[in-house]
Formats: sequence, C-alpha cells, structure tokens
Amino acid sequence: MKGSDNLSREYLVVDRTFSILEKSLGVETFSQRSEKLKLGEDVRDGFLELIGLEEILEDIFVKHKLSFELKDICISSDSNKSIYFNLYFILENDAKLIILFEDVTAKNFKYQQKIQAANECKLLADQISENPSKLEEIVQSTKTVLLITDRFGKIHNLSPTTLELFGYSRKESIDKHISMLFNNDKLIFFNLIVHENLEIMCQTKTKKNLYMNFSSSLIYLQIDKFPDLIFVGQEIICQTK
Amino acid sequence: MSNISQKICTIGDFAVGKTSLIRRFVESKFSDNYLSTVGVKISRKIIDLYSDKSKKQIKLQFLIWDIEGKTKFKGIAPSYLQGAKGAIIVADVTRQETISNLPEHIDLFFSVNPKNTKIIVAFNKSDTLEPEKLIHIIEKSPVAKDERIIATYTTSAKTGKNVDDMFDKLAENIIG
Repeated sequence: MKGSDNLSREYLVVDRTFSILEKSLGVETFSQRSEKLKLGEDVRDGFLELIGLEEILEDIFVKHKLSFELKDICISSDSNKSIYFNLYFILENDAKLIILFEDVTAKNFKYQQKIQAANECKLLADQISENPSKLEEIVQSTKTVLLITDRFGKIHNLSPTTLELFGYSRKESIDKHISMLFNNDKLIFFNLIVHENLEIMCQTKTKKNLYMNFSSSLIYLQIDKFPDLIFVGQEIICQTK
Repeated sequence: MSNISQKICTIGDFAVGKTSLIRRFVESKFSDNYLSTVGVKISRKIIDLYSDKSKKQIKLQFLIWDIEGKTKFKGIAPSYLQGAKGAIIVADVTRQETISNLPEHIDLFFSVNPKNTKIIVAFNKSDTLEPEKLIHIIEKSPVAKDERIIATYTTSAKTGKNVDDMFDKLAENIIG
C-alpha cells in the first residue's frame, strides 16, 4: 500500500487474542522476526514492540480508547540499515483491530543528523564552559567540525577537521568572520544564533558547496566577560534507499 | 520452566549512556563514538532466573526500550513507557544537569505506570571520576532518599562495572 506522499504504508489485522487475521504484502519489512508473521499466529511473536501494550489494545477493543500510536520505532534491516516506522492502532469493528505501519525512515534519517549536531554542540559547550583551560585540547582533539567565535562571529579557534573540510589554513581562518563558511552571508550567522540549529549551504575555499547542519551554543570562557559562541557542524548526507 | 516476556525502558537526558548500557548488557560491547538515538529501539535478552514468588526457574525475555534522551528541543514521549514493568533511569555523573533531571524522569515513568513497577537509577560514566567524588555526587543527588527507587548503581558501560548486576536486579524484582 502506498500513500500519495510516497510514504510506504502496510497493515495487519488482528483479533482480540492478537492472532493475525490479515496482513499486507510488505508488512514483513517492519519486522525483525518476519518468519513469525503468519496468519493465525500471535502478532507479538513477529512484533516484540507490542509486548506490554496488551492493556491499551484491550482498551481499544472495549472502546475505552479510540486509538493509540507509537512513533519512530527503529529496527535494523537485513543490510544493517536503520528503518523507522510509526504504528497506529485503530478498531475496525468489535472483533478486529487494524495495525497500520508507516515508514518514516527518511524523516528520521534527517532528524538524526540534526539532533546529533545539536547534542554534540551542547556537550562540547558544557565541557568547555566547565573547564576553559581544556579548550585547546578539546578543539584540537575533536573529530567534528567545531568553531569558537566571539559574540560578533569572529573566529578565535577551530578544529583541524573544520580546516580540512573547508580547505583553509589556520592562518587564513583566525580572526575572520564565520560567515566566510556561509558564502559571506552574515544573516545566516545571526539566524544560527537565534535558532541554535540550521541547515546551511556552506562553501569551501575552492567554492565547493557543502550542505551542512550547524548548531550553536554559548560558552563561558571568562567570568565577567561576554560569552563566546561555539558552532558544531555536520555534513548532511542524503539517504539512498 | 516458565517463559515470561517483560518490557522495561531506559530513560534519561541525551548522551548519558543509555544505548551504551544496553549494548554492554545485551552484546557485551562498547563504543566510544556517540550516536544520538532517535525515537526508540528495542533490544532483547533472555535471562534465566529463579522466582521466589512462584518457586520456579524462569526464562525471562527482557525487552529493553532504548528511548531517545530528553533534550531542550524534545521531551520523552509518554507513549513509549506504556506497559513497562520497570525502568532504568540514567544520569551522567560528569553532568550535574542530568542528575538534577532524575526526579522529572522518575515522575514521568510513574505517571504512566503507577502500579507494580520497579525503578533503578544508574549513575553512569563512573569510570571517569574518583570514588570519593562519586560517593559525594550520589549522596547529594535529588534521588538519594527517594523511596520509589529499588536500588541505585554506579555504572560504567565502558568497563562493564555493575551493568549486568543492575539489569539482573531489575529482572529479579520484576519477577518477584
């Protein structure tokens, strides 16, 4: 079953004892134990995600609850890639419950990259603020794209990974404005501070475009001084199915 | 021998080591690379244990829900906690904020599962601190006198310290 928005959707129908009554052709995609998904078998053998939900599903059967949903369940496919799906439980009639599966892999693949950059940025900001004397060590040892600027965006420090990816030398970067990475668009710098996380089309020294996710956070390097800014970036990799 | 399946959850702020604790317990592996969990991923481990309540040997299928950590952008979805018989609430001993947030996570779990559930608190990344400092942090933690918790452990997914013991303790308490 395919929706108009190209999200893959599949379904199962179960009875009150959780026996499978019907199933769509591709529902096995969402199961890590697809060999257990047979008509007449307990759906929980094929979908361990349903173990523990018996009371809620019974509430739907007796109409104490209209529906239930579980979002962003992750499983590993046979080729070791992550598949994300949403589950929706809807009563068809007194004896039948429909379980809908919706593939949300693409959305979550993108979100993972965003949250990864945001979380790493927060962790590094906390680490540096707590131990400003370790700033140099942290910046030099990190494998992520990391820049430290003053509150106006002037670069004070940056990681070797940043230099390597963007093709600049340290001398060419220090004291320059961070917008040199954003095609000299200073508005992006201000937006990044306000929103703390942005997808940005960056440009390397050789004018190669890099689509990146950048996060920003405040860091406190000196007491009684204005905070500086930390930026962590991650190249956005498009998922190929 | 009886076969029982039970669902448990790991809950906590982002990057406290929830995924690493599960990986250590289920696969006996550890990686230093941090990869943020999105949504929820379920792992399975079979544990053999003796139930004092039923006086029987039991094969417990433990279904461990590794739930995306709380960030300032996103809280923990209560729907993930539905039907869990227990939870491990995880904090990172090197980040005070994650310890301060422990009561919030415990309250959330009990708001969804108020009856017959067990909670353990894991003070993770304990290998990074001196033992004296660790004791001080735990004694001063906001959950030090919380009677809803059955046990607290100082854990290290990196070294494996207390990880199996902690999951076993939760299993024993759930089975009774």
